[in-house]
Amino acid sequence: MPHHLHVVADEELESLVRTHEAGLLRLAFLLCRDSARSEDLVQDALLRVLRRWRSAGIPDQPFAYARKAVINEYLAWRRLRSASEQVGSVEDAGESDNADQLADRDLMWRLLGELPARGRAVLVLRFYEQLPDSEIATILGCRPATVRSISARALQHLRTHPMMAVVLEEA
Amino acid sequence: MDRLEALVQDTLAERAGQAPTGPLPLAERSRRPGRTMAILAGSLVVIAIAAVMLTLVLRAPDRTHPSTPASTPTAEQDLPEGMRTASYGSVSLTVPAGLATRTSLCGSPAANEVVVFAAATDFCTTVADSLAPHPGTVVWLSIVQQTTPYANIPTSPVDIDGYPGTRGYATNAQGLGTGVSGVIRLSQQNIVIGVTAPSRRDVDLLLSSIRIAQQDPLGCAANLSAASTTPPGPSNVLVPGEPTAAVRCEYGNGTTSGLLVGSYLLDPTQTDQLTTALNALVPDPCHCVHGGTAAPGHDEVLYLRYGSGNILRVNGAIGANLDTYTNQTRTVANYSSSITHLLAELTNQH
Repeated sequence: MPHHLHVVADEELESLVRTHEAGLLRLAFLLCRDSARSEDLVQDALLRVLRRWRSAGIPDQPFAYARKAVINEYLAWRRLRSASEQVGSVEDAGESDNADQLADRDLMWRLLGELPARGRAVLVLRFYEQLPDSEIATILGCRPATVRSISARALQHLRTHPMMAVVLEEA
Repeated sequence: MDRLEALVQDTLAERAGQAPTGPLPLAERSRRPGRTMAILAGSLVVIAIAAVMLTLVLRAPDRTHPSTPASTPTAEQDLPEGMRTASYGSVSLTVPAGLATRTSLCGSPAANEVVVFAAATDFCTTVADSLAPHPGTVVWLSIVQQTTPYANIPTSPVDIDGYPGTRGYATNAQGLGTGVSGVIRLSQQNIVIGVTAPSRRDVDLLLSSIRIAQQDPLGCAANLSAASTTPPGPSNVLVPGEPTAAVRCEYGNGTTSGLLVGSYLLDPTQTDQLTTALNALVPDPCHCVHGGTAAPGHDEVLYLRYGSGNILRVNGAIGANLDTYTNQTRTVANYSSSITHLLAELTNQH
């Protein structure tokens, strides 16, 4: 494999890390809900990205490629995760301007952790990354209709939880 | 956007603020290789794999021999400055370039070296001793059958190039070396790889570099199951005709999931010797496994290449005298004493 591909790939990855490292870590953290794990996810994903770029060249949209790699790494990790492993700790959200809002978000954070991996990934990509269904479908390797279906099921799961139903009713 | 969706969005936005901010070890290695070398200086790497058992299966000439050499998982030109590749069979990882490599059957490793435990048996208790605390800064890596000190640490799942395993961490408080220890265990392959370093970041730097090649440069597949898929042929002779070259692919732990631990190319003269020895094997009328329990050990695949381009595949396993081969599946009693001994001579493994 040509040496110049390595140099170009290394430089591109370094540039991507400089620009998007924090964003990728936030994405990974929202998915796996654990600081150390999210670092592992991103690092493993970027190493795979680097190897791929070195052999096949840089894709048109490097960040989109890296983001997809993080999602895939997360989904692979969830598939392998033992049944006994905790979903992730609910860390203290810190100070809030409103105790009720804080409680609602804590509840939502816990319920998001109960969602299946793809359901959580779809919600994170849609509501945090603000991606359209078509792009989410590309990342997950499925059709946009499937994305909408997964999203609807995930939201329905959240909506019908007894405690969340109370929250929504109060609102 | 309804109230629920707004709450999802607000929650994710708020929680994103708790995400780690980096820098990742990857970025740090890329930017500051000198620091990595300084941290890893005075390190120790240990690699160990044990072996006991070998079975032999003759397959017909096939056309799928992996005759084209494949690149190793981490080419030297990929490496950061100051690092090099340490590999054993299909498993490799990057280590500080200053570490010398040593092979050993048993024994306690010292600092500043890579030790490969290519043990003939898997109950080399001093391998476990090598995981005990070392004075000063120590980095170690091992591929072993047993790592008792790490049997009970919490683990989470990992995937190393398609091989599922677990990763766990231990600290000095648990009496497991200085600094932080990270252990990756590929249970199905019966292989454990560990690193001890001053910090988790340093540990992860090495652990994240672990790769398993799908083929080695001689064309040996990463594991035996992947190498044993060609259908048997019609020959009733163990090695028909006159093959002109051979490759020996050696696998660990006596199961089809064992990973490649070594490969050797035999020249025409050596191939002729091997052919003669294989055809001289005496079928055992008992057709049974002799003596002892089936302990984990090495399996191997022999590829014998003919001038016509055909390849004969022979699968073998030693230790319990269980040797089966060809489409007739025969058992022989003298494989270990004849073929194993010969291959050790031909490949300078004494």
